[in-house]
Amino acid sequence: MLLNFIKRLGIFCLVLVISTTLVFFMLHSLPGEKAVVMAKYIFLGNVELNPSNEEIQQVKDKFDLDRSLMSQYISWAGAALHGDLGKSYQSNDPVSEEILIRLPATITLAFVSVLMSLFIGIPLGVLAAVKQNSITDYLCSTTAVLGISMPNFWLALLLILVFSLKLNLTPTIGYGGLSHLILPAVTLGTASSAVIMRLTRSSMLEVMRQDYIRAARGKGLSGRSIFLTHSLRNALIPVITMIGLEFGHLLGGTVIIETIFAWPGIGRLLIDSISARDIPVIQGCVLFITLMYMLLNFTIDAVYPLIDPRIGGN
Amino acid sequence: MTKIRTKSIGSMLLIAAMLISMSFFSCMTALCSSDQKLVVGEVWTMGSVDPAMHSYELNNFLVAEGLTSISPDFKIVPCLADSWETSGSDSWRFHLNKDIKFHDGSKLTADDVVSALQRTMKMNPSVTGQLNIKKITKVDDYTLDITTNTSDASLPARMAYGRASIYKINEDGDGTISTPICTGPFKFVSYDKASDTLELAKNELYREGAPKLDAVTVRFGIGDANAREMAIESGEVDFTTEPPLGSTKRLQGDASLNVIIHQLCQGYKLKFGDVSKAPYDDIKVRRAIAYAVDRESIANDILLGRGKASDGNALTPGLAWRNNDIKGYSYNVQKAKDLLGEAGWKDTDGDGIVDKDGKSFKITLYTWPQRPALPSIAQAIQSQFKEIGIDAEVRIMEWDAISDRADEWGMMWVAGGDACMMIPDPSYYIEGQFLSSNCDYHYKNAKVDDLIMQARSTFDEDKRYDLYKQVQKIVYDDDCAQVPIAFHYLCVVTKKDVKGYVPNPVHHDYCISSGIYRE
Repeated sequence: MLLNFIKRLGIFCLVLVISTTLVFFMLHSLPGEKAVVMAKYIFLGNVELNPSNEEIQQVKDKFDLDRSLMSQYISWAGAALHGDLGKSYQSNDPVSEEILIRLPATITLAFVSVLMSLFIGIPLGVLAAVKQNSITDYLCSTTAVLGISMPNFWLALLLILVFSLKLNLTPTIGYGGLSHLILPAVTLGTASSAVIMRLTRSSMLEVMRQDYIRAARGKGLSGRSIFLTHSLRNALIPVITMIGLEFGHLLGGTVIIETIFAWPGIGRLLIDSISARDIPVIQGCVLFITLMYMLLNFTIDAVYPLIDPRIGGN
Repeated sequence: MTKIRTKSIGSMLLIAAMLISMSFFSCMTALCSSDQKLVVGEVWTMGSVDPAMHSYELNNFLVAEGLTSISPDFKIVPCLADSWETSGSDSWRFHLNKDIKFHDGSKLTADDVVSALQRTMKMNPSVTGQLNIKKITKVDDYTLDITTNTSDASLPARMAYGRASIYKINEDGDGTISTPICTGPFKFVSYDKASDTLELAKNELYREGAPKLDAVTVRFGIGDANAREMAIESGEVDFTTEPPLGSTKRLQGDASLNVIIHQLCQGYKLKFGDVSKAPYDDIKVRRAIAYAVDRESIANDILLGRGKASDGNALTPGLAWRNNDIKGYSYNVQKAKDLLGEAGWKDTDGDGIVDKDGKSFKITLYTWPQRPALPSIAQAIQSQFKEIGIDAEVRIMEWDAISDRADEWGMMWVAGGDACMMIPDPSYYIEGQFLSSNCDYHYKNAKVDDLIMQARSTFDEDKRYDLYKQVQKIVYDDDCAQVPIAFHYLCVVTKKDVKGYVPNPVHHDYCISSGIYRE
């Protein structure tokens, strides 16, 4: 157990190092010289203007951009190891603060969306499987296909149109109380509900064909007990993996939805920082997102044995 | 068996449905607005309120003021300073208005001005470059001298720039300012970084009388045009700008809204990648291209009333230093074809594309996606070029990726956001666009450089403006260095009961006015 934990911790650190290194070096292959782009943001506040050569040189001096990439990376990594992620050159605020301020918004939105997909996706998936090839099944499956194929920005605008403009039930944009959360969460939740629903259905169908279900029926178990302890439980394993992935994806930010709803999430922070080449913030976001994915993987792995004791045995 | 199964699934569904409907109804919050309160939905983000970094926004929302300011008819008018005069070729003396009070009630003195400007320039290098200030010295409590790096007749105009606003130095422990204390008609109440929302209240002490609105809320960062449109329709914001181009007509027909379309000092233009290299080193080719652009159809069919075809000068009509005698190159396909022919570009192989020495006139038109009209304008120009035998491909990419491609043969930009009044003085735009040392498209005309240098140190306003007018004649008519397409107009949408907004085209993109009230 302890060995397993240490092994995982090792992999965890390795992934962190690889992802930040990759991102750091990939940033340099972006079009537009870094110093020029930064000079635009620092000196002109407008990407549509050109900075002067002195301004570009000043940026190079201030941020030490004339050094080799390797030495730039090493000094960033050195500071990061000491817990210092640096400052955003755009806002002058520490990177940790930039991320922390957006953390509640990001986590709330991701959590509620995933919760929604659980509450809708799993029951509908089970229903569709149990009533395979019935009208209910077709209805559920069609809805799911619709949910997956609808572009989420379009769904977002449609939801605003109906619930904010026509029915006047929700605010259109912004971040604040529960009411602001509904539309973005429903938008994001719809697609994941559809994914979860389809997965639950197919996994449930698969399980219901297994011999042990037939055996359970044969020994006279009640429908409820077959459903709860045998079929659903086994069918949920792939679903849980998927939920973990969806959750991680949502924590990484959903730029389009955050933009439409003016939602202060990590996604927008990351995209804005990439266009401004705000390297400390970009690296901070990448660290955060990797960290979140890893933590989720840990959690999911910890949940598996609860559902399927065979997994814990190894 | 089936019965039980359906029952449990049914109850799960019921719970899910209840949860969702509960959350829906719990949010039927009536959006109450007090009588004289305005909620503004702003396109850009803010991020922090330290005036060293953000006095531009604070200035647009009437919190911060500068030594001078600029009126809607482009005149430099007194603000915190009553008067100013040059006291030498590189020095200006400003006399402060003695009745100015900060939002905390304390009096504004020369010390405050000196320390605010020094702090801004130290923390925000962009301002240093834009203000051209070398040294600021206090003469007495209400007088100060500003020395410029180079002899600079434009300093009083530069002091009207939003980023040169004056504020009190009330730094927190970490050296930043989180509660700006300024002098404007509205005072800072709070700022929430997570929701990027700024709350303002009226300044009862304001020297020209308190504004009519009691409170203003600015919600920054509503970057999506559709989202802004729906926010104003649902009443969540009372004032916003730039809804989608295609929605203008529909919004104008909405009885609950006011739609105000007004001039802005911004435009669209065609910019050559490199005028020192073929094919654009040939003035005839540049002129042919200028003749080939149908500006009226772009203004009418793409900008849909939110713009106006250019007359050949990119500077905004109404500016005192604008040369109104530019002939321009009005749409004329035949002339364009003739000029191309004279330059040696003829269709010898009958494929519809002109060629010269075996090289076909195939180019790429680059533009970027952030300004909604740009891709459509590029497509229109693409088809207009076809008429004169130029085969253009439209490519839409990020600004910085485009500037990497300036070396490509025949590349051209369709540019927007061409702002000629960031600082209310001709020097800023004209030097940036046409002074050879600044030209990223390698335009070089010794006469132009010479006129610009003369203008820098000419303190007589008429003579100075005349020099800039000569520059405009050369760059637009004689050299055809850039091809102006259209002026961009700003679309402001407010709730019907929002009255008293006075457009000020100088601000980017707008500035609320202290006369705004709710009817």
